[in-house]
Amino acid sequence: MNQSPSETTPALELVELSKHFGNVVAVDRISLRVEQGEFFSLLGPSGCGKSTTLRMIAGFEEPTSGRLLLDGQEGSRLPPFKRNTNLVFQSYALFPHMTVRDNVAYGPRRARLSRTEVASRVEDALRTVRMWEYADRLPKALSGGQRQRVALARGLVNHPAVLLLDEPLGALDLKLRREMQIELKEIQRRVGISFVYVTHDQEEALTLSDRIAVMNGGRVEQLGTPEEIYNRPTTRFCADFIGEANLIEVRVGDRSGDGRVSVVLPGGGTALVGSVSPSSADSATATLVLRPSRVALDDKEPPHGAERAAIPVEVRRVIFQGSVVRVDLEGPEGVSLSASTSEADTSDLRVGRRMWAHWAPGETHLVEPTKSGTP
Amino acid sequence: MDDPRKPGDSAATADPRENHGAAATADPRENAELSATVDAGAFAMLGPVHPDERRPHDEIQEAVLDVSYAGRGNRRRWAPYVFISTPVGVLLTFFAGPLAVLAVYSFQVRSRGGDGSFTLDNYRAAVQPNILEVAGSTFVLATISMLILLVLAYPLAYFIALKVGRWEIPLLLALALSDELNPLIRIFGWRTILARNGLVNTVLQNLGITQAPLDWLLFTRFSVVLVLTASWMPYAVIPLYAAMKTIDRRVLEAASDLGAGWFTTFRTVILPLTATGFVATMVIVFIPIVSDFATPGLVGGTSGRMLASVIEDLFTRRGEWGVGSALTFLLLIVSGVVVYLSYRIARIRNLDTST
Amino acid sequence: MRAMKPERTSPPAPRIYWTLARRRRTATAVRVTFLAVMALLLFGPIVVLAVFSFNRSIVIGFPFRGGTLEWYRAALGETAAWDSLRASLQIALVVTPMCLLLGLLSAFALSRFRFRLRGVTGSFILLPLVIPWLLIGVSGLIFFSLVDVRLSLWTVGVMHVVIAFPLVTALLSAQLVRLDPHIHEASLDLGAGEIETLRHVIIPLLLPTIGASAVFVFSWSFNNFIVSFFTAGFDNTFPIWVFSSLRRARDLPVVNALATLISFVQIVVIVGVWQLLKVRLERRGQDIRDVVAGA
Repeated sequence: MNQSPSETTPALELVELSKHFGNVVAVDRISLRVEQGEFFSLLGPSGCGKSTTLRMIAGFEEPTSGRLLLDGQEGSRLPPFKRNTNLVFQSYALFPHMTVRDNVAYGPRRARLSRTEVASRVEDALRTVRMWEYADRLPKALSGGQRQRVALARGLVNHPAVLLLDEPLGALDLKLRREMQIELKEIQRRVGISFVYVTHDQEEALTLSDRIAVMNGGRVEQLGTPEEIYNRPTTRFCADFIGEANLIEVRVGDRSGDGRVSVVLPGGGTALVGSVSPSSADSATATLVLRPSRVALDDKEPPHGAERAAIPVEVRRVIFQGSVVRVDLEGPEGVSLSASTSEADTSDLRVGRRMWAHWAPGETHLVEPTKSGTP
Repeated sequence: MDDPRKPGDSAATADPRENHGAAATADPRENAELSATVDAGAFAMLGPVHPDERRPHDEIQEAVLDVSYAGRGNRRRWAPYVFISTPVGVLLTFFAGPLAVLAVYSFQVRSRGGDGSFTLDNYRAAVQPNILEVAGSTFVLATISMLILLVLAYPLAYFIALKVGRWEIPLLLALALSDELNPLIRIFGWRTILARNGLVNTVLQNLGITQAPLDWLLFTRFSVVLVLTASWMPYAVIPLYAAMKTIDRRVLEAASDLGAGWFTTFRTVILPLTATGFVATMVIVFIPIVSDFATPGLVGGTSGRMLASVIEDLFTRRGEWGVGSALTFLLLIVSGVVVYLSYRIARIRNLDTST
Repeated sequence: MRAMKPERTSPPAPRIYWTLARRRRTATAVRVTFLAVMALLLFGPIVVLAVFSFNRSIVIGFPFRGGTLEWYRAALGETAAWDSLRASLQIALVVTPMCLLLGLLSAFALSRFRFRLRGVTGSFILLPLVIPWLLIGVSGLIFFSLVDVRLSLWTVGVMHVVIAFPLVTALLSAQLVRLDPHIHEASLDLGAGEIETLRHVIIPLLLPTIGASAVFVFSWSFNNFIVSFFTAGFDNTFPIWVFSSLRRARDLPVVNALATLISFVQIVVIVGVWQLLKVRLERRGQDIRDVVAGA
């Protein structure tokens, strides 16, 4: 991951890859590289093109244009059974008439490996996912989580260059899902195979991935580590889709030469911002992204300046959410924002109370405004 | 925690290109939906299709307008034709070919050294009063048999599908069994039961209910209807059973939970939901009944004569192939009309109940 | 609330309870009677034949003159009957695999691929199922005489294939449509080509349905009378032999004995196959009821 891209061949590289269904563009010129041993996620809402991308990598869809390199070799025209990739389906797609053992042995047998080689690989794979004890069961006799593990083993056993996972935890309940996330990450680290993981669950993507590509409308909106994506979203969509965010429309004030930008907040106050995404460069208005967890509340007006930015607000709603309490606020010009606090005692936060919301300017980001100024 | 899907915001993206993308990705699903519907229509006869079995997050439908690899472009365009050519070839040669020959034959002078020139004499001969009379009685008998059949088969299917619990599978086996037994042997059995010295008459006389044997039991229209009904029973029950099976049990529970008695449930839920299956069953049994000549031939006598017996006679004993063809062709047309009308009715019914 | 509880669990008023019970009993009685009548309709004739096949009397009917195996012995010497039986079996044994092959090919093409004219092709293949057999038989008769093919057991077999393989198409398509398409994809993804996928995944999964289809097709062919009657020429199949014997009303007790024998064998075979299918299907989490409903 830390090697510079030119030194090693990436496990998978997509170059300007597109898929059109008739005149519908499902995937629109996406480019990305997945390094050897990397856990890479495609994250996005339903219909963003992530599954189509995955199916192109697996060979079930032929790209309309662009290149797809597997271990450095052009692979977009290879049929699925000639690709060094394996896909774990959301529905698991285990062969119902075969035992767990035969399911896992299916790939190695098709590769014409020797009987002993098949047996040892199957045992390895099943032990890796802790399903060796169930080798002689039929899929019907397994629970959802167990089937999931078998599906995983069936992919791992072939030592693919890339293992593709299509919402593999989608059918599990929340608790099992959390457990499997940890286990999946652990397994991936141990076997060292590159994973390309498709999910619409941002929490899952943040937990598991080395890097994430956030997709929307067939395009990659942002590509980066979970920290980068969470802390420095480059588009409004990313900011909104990943975690909770206050999105405040602001006027861009001073763009000073050293890269620091100040904005005019609702109510007329000014504040510096932490980072500016290219999508908001050169536009007169922009959206300020502020995570609710970074917003503090105070009765007194805090000192403005380089350390603190603040706006006056009125408490609208207080919502108890278990570990945190969310406070919905209304600021000047009808702007609404929320703050979340983990403080135990919030009894003094009464609706209608006037307070100051303040934050550290370094933790805000500027992305493109709601309506683009350019036609 | 955070709801990963905030649909409102994707429309708010600044880049018009992205807006286009968002709008575009909404479309394929509709297409998939559409093609699934079209498909269900074309394949209604092939068996149940479950368009609602899609998983909630299955975004794949976006991509898979098609099953599996069919989306891979030109690669396998030839494959379905390789598979389908032999079956279609067999049917074209030995099914469509003969039917076409039959149609042509019915317009030609062929019998008794005819030269094959065009004629309508065959049809004129086929619509003689005495044949029309048999045709009329055939349709009456067939309709009566079909109605009795449905009246009996419907509750039987209902019991087996929804009411008998663990007896369901044994009863199905019995049904399949009676379906696979030789119909001619069964007709033979009925003759034994209904004959002058058969089971029924003997029992009735021994019990002193009747003095002389009943003559109307065999070689009458009664026996034809009885045997037709009994013979084609499994053919009627199985499709009705299949239709009942598609009813979601929870719908019935919901109905009774809402206070509907069994009759109300039956009338408002089961009947509408099985209307299509009902009409399909009518067609399924009417066609073989109309063209059955073993039953009227063996238990019908002279009064229970049916059209199929006349056709058989024309072909096997009288050598009137031209007239026979014409009559057969007329039978096909009438059956075709019956089938078509039934499907139309079923369509309309189906639309009515779905709203 | 707690104070209310004893009241609520006390039994309902006895009279209502009794009425409900009686109503339920009546319903059960009606149901059982109905099922019994249906059973008589469906199996009565066969049972009666079976009973009378042991009757010493030359007339099939009462009075019962005591048990005998005489008719079975006579049946053994009835060579025409055995010849027709052999012919029927031979035809069914040839027709069944042909139908399975054609049905598999067509079902596979129709449910796994999308191609031009698929809808039309599908309807065309299913058409023989809704065309009266009389028509198919008669048109076969004219067709074969026109192309100068002598009617024989072969022509019977060909026509049986025409009427029976669409049934296999229908049964297998229903099952294929139900199959998770990802299972097919998973096989390709794991390195199996189309042929290997067919061999290792699709066919094994369809096996119970293929078995059921085989039974249906075999029975259809073996029992078919109308189509055979027109296309057999001077050859006899078993149903044709039964028909002509009944029509001439000759040797009826012998026919009866044979009919009983055949029915017995059919019942044993079908119950056996049913059990086998049921067990195999259950092992895969499938249900035999779906297969029947698919028919």
